[in-house]
Amino acid sequence: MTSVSNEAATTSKQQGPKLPQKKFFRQRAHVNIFNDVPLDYPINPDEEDWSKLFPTYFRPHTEEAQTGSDIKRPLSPSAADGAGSAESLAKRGPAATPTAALEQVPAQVEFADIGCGYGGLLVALAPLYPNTLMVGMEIRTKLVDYLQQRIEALRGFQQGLLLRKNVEWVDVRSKISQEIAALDQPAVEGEEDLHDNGETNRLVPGHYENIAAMRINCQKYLPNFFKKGQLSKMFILFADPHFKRRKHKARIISTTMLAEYAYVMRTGGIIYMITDVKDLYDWSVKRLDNFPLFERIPDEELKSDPAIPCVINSTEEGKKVARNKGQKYLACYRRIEDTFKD
Amino acid sequence: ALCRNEKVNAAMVARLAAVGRKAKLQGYEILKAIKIDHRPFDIETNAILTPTLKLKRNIAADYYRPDIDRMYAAITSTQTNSKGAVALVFGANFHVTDGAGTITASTTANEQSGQVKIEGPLYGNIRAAAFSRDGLLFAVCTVDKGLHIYETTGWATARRLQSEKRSNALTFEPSGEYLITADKFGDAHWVGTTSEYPETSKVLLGHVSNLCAVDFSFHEKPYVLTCDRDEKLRVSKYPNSYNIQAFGLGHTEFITSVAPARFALDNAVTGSGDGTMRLWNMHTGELLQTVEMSTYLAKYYESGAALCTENTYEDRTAAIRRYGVLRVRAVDAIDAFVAVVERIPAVLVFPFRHGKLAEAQVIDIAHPPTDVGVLGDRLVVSYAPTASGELLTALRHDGDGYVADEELTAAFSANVTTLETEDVPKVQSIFVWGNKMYLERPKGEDADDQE
Repeated sequence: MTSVSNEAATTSKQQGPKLPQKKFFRQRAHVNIFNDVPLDYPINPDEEDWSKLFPTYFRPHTEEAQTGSDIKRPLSPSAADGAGSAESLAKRGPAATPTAALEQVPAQVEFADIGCGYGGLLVALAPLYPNTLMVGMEIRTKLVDYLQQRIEALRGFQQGLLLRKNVEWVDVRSKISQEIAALDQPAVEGEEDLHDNGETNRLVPGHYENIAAMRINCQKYLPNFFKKGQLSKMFILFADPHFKRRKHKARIISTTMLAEYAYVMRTGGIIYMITDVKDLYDWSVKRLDNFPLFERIPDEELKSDPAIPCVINSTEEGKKVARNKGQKYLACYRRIEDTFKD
Repeated sequence: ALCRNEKVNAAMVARLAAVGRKAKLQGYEILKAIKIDHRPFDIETNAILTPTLKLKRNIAADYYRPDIDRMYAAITSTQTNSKGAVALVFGANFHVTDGAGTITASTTANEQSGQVKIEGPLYGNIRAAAFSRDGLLFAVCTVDKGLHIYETTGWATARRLQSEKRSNALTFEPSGEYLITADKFGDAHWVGTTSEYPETSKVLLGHVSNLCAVDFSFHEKPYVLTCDRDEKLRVSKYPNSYNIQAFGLGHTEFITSVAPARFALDNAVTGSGDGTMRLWNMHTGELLQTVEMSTYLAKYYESGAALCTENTYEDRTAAIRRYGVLRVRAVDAIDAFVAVVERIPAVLVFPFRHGKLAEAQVIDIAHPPTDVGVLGDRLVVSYAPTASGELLTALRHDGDGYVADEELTAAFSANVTTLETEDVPKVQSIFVWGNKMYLERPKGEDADDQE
């Protein structure tokens, strides 16, 4: 879309990265998932060149780097570590990459946002799990373009900030506790900006190097990208309800799709599902409850999960629901071992 | 009744042809075979006309489908069972022969033939057929979504059902208690094989893609193997098939056939529209070996024995040299796998040694195949429609390799006929359904994919 670059040229004299504007990237919500559109997908997970999405973590596929996986394994995805590594990153000075004391174990994507839209969740989650690779999956081209540009811009801002002195870091720990506390209170107007565009003035742990966007039809090609048991978190936020009965099979959560989600998730991994459509919630919960490989996580346990506030508040769709004073229905399930006995 | 009179029909064809020649029509514009129906096209009863009396072509085609196909009948599927029976499917009918090539039962049987009459012909062409592992049951599914299960001793119809969606492939689960059907929306269903079970089927598992083949491994706790148009082989536990064991990812085109084997319990072999056969480890999904069919079969294109055809709206790659594997099967008697490829008049037999497919023996056959069945150590190959009207050939193993089994071939030749044909009939290429939608598939059969 040339209008974006025109915008950049005609507006401010600010050099460097520019956040893309959503209005140039709108696309209608409905896409036929049964349509075999020529999507790019690898034959199998080993073939995928992740360096295009995560240049910090992966070497490009060349003759030498056969597997293309590289550098360091993400630290255990705990938000407490977030603050810790922020300090150590600051100590290491400019252009620090999250390498240092980590072991030489191949990196891999661990979180997947199915139908990530404009990327609100990813941008909000990135600083909480700075060494965990997360990918947003979206079938609509324009939105993928938007999100890729957004992430590029955010990374650019971070690199720029690293070169300056006396730049503030986002205090992830207090942010999390604030957000968890704020869940019970109505949303404040000003808060939106932070989630909306990501940080442009402060450093964040991970520097947004750990998030990326992909164009993929999740319902057909998840196994092409992810190995068995690879993912530890999967997010399904405000999925298309597909109200008509004949469209039910296009729903993201269905009994047949759950088998594939269970396949790519590791035991103990968590699926987060939120929607504002009560019918869809009931329908999905019924299928998840009946699916032997997932078990419901009671709401009390969720209170300590740092990802929850992001799930509830950080997406475009989530904010829209809040503006319209809608209700949000959340359910989380843990992937468990198969207990089937003949 | 006059309408069905052969002489009337022939006279009408002759008259129409004469008129056509006089008007200087092209060869393909002159009618070769017609069906005369005394029932008029109607708006209400058969809904062939619109309220403004226009002809709805696709409705008319479906209504007369069995008649259209009766005029063009080649054997589309060859299935065998452990008791030495061979089922030969053509159109809406099938014959069953014994191991010596004599028809023992058929849907077209009449009093004089001495064959057991099987309920039929069925309404709508048969899409897939399968025997159960113990050979005691046989099932077919038709384009009108019918499922027919027969007991092979006596050929009585054990069960007849209407399924919700048309099935592409069938297999019996090892105990024979259930039939598993696979449809083009990606769902595999459980259907009970006796009337004790409910009429409606349950969903066993689903892909989000056209399912092309389904089978079971030979393990004691078997896996169910499903293959789809999106190049995936899925290995799932059974009956807890929500638990996916592995994906076999490597094919670059739709998979047409999967073959498990008793002599290679942990392996499965698949055949695909991408011109390869691949060997997999079922437990891990690891691709162990890829065989390019072109290395064995390019010579057939070069010599002209295999022909490319013209690209059509439905089949956009017909003009290139391609090797669409139609079927792969295990030949337990000699620890080998057999494969046949669309358009190529050859049979390939790959001995299985040291966990790999060894160099194949390539046996010439007279015409391109539609299917291959395994009868002990013998192979039965059904031909694609030919001008000569040959339908089948058989091969036997002489200790070293495969040679023509002249005796059995002659028996088939003498005993097996399908319905009369006037002209060279056509069988649809696997690439018509195998190609993906973005190549602009024609409306009609796949229009409900758009739902």
